[in-house]
Amino acid sequence: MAVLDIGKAYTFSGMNLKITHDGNPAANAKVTRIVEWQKEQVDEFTADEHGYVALPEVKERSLSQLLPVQFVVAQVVNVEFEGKEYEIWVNSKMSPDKNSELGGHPLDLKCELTREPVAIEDFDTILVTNCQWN
Amino acid sequence: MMSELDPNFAARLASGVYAVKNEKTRGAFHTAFKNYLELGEDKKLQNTGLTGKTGGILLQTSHMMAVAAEGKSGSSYQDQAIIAIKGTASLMDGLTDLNAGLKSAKTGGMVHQGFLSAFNSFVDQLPQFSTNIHTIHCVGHSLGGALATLTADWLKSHSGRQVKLYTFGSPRVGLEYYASKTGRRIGASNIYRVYHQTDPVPMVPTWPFFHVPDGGEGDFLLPSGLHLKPWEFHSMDRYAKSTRGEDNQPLDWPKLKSRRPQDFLDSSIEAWLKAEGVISFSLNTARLLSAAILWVVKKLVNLTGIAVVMAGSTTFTLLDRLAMLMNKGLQLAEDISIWVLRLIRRMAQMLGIALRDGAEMTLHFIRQVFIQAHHAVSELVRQAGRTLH
Repeated sequence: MAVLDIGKAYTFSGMNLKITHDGNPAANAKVTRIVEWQKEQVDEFTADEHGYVALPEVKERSLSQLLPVQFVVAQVVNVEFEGKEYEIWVNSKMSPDKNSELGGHPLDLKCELTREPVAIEDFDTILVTNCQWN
Repeated sequence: MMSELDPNFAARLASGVYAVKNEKTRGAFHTAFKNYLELGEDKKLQNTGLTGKTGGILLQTSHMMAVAAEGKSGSSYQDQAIIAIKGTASLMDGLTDLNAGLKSAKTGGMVHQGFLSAFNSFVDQLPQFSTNIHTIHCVGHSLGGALATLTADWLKSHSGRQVKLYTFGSPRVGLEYYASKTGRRIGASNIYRVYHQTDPVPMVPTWPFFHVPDGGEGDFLLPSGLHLKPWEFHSMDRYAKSTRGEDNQPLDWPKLKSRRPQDFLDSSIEAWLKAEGVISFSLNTARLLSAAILWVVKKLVNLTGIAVVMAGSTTFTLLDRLAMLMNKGLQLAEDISIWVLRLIRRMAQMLGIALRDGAEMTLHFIRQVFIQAHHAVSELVRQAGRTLH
């Protein structure tokens, strides 16, 4: 860890998505990511022709928090494909650690847009997604 | 039918309720718990969410801080209700405030006024619940644990139902009378107070605040293990992890109890008070110190019947009163005063205060020692915040 990273928290760990629609790559799907810790940040990405898209990690430093307050980050990933919107990832990140979203596993996800999002209980957080991982 | 929530489900509620503050994740809370709780189709939780006010008198902010819902019909939570309360940042200041104000709880006993005013901001929204509800489970982490304690006590005296209380890393809520009365009212077997050994938050507010319960059946002390950042053991995700075994399977309460690390025995407190070696101020010694203060106070109160009157308006802080009690203890028979003397000496050593031989232990000196010890503990709590972010 670089010295400059000390004190920084992962508010969104790097995420690799493979997006499909009815099993076919969701080529050029528009991906919107919302990350809200101390303030809301929104950025947009576009999937390639194979439905792949990488969302880079987001790290933030707290300037004013001097008391032991629970770390909570709201994360939302929306996909717009063929005129329809899909909420593929809603998570409440409860730890500043990298990949804490999936209990330390890398965020390499396969997301089928037609799948109904489900609540994941394995990590004791609020995570609702239609993505799957190994 | 389930009589208590299992540790992992309680932890998931305490963790999950943090998601209701933000509208973006509130709907996900609904999805996550709709199979367990009667949340209806209301993804915004307008009927089940409770809005509270926290913050100073001038800067109060209002936000959704709790969920109160009945168990889903047909689930193992049928005929039961759940109230999950999140911690809030703004109450943290009050924890280390030397002049922590006290207010009389409606159910009797003195409690921290910051907690009470946050509780009062949502008490009127607590639902009546259907007549078939026989048990209400109150859950909370950190300051949410303090609010869950006040809620559980209030519900027990107003609802006539069985109430169960689950807290993770809760600070102390009130003084001894409040703590013992609340413990008795709810019932020892209905309380699950979970806290990690190196979590600093349960160490505050310092004496004379007491936990519900301090030791015994409902006291689930958990080891923190060796970790570079012991502070992390206050965070809810750590508590949730502690409710699972090595195989990641959820543990039951007896299993959790069996993980209890060796706590301080009376003999080890005595040995520590008698020892001469130099000690540094750390999380572990702070915990030992807290146990030692309690041990000496109990000795004083039990053997002498000195009543520590805490109620009423006064210009003295709680620490002043503690110093006065100790000063009185010094004037008693030697078998008592020797322990007070040893305690003050150990505290002074920890804090690096030089003690000359034959120097008189004045009330002023004792007060200084207690105030410095309080500042040292407060600093530990503040450091916790720095490393959490």
